[in-house]
Amino acid sequence: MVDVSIAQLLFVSFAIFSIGAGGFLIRKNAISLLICLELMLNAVNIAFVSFSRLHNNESGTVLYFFVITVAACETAVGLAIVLNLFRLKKNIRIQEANALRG
Amino acid sequence: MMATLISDLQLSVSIWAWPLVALAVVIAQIVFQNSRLSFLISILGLGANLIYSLWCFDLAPVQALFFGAVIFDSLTQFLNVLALFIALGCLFISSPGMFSQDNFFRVHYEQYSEFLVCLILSGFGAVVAFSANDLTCFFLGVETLAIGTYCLCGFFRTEIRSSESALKYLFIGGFSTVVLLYGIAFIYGSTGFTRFDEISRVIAAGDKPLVLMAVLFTMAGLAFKLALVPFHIYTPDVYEGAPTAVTAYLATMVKLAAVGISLRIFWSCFGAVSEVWIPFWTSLCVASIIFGNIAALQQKSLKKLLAFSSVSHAGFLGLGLLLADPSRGIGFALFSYLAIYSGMSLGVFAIVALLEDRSKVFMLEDLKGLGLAKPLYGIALAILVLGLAGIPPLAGFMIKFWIFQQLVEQSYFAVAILAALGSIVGVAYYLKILMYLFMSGDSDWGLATRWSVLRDQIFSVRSLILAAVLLSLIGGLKPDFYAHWILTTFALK
Repeated sequence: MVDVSIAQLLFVSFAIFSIGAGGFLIRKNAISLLICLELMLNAVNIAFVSFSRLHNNESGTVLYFFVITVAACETAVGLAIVLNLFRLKKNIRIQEANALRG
Repeated sequence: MMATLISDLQLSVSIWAWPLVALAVVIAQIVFQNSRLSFLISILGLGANLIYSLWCFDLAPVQALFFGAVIFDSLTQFLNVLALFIALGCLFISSPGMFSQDNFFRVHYEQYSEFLVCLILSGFGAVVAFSANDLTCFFLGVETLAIGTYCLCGFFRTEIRSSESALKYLFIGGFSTVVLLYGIAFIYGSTGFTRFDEISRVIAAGDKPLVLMAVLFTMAGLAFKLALVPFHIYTPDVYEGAPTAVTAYLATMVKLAAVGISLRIFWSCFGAVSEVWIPFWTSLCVASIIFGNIAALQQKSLKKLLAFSSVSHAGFLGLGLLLADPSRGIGFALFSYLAIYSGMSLGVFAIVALLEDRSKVFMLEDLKGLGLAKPLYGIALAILVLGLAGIPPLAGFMIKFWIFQQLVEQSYFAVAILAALGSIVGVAYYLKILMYLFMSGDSDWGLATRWSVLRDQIFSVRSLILAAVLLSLIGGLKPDFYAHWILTTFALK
């Protein structure tokens, strides 16, 4: 078994977070944005679990389960909103969501 | 253990009564399928909770409940009372649609019970968030609040503007949640605890490497929730598109929750490293006051103008938070600002909801001649808007005055001067509203549509507006009236 240091784990977490944040800023499709949000949440989860191992207590792991559950709820609501907008406009490109501009 | 659980439940009735009311609404909707009955149940439930919370207002020393997950001190109780007032106000603002014969409202108000449930449950989320004493509980509360508000924004689901505002709020809200959560992860990582009292003990004990990261991420997440510049970009669009009752909810309840949780996080967790976050936070607040007011000057749409006005008020709330240092005294300025600001905004949004025509954007020009055609609404709106501007005899002046007084007392001179300049700029656009209101001109307010005549008759909204106007007047002329109550609440802390 390879021993992984806390710094490596945090680096992975930060890298995934950055990929998610970068994708969130440049992608234009609403579904991609939801996926990027999910990616960032999972990066945070990696951080929680690795901190939990660092401190040798279970609080972080418990928080991780809550985060997963809440992320699922948020994505469900998000998909419902995206689907509703698709019914109205027949596309889900973010740059065309401009009825409120002005 | 069972005995402590039962006594904890007895103490925290006013918190868990929220989801109970929501449950009652769900059951009533399934059995009777009557949205008016659901509305009545939610009003009665929240009203009963409000009376109970006021009656049992307990100034006893701080109590941590449920194995330390929830803290039930005077701050929790005060904010809970305020949250109940706000939830009732937003329900009142949304109620006229029930009586409309208009096809648009008929279609959407068939699902009115869902609106009620979302509103009450997200209010519960707010209460859990600011009464939390543990990062897990805190995160769950914030998310319950946020997910409920995403649904509320998209309530008019056949309307593109409402759906787009929900989409924007969802993405910005989701992003801010993730940032906040990364901050939480760093708080946990640098201390190893999730309980606030233990976190503050560890942070005070020594220099922790990740504390700066924790502070920055948490602050950015909270600034999104409070809509401080530069994290305010979503406010004009979201406030414009959401149903007006929901706009009122975003401007009051979400800000209330954000202030409550920031108070806990900054002063309870990061109190020992206040020199790290105070400069960042102060500059965010001052930027909000100045840029919020300047941006509002250029707005032609009434709801966008109110959105930017709420950004500048968020700046003042943030300054109030800065002054609420528990070691130096009480956050009297913050709490009176929160209460009076919420009341006045609810009044303004109630008037907007009564007058707006949902099929088009409510422009400032649409107010032309309203003050002459319907003098009562004109005068009410004028009083509330002058209150938001902070003109002397009204409550809006007193709350700003207290903030400035505290700023000078704690020697934040530059901040006080910049905030004062910003709010002077703000007076200009509030006066613009007044100018439109009482400007004679070609207006069709005399020929008001059948719908708005009908809305005029609705008692709940009119009583809400009257209450807001009275609060604005009495709060300004007789500030001792509530100042005494707030002071006694927090002096004992």
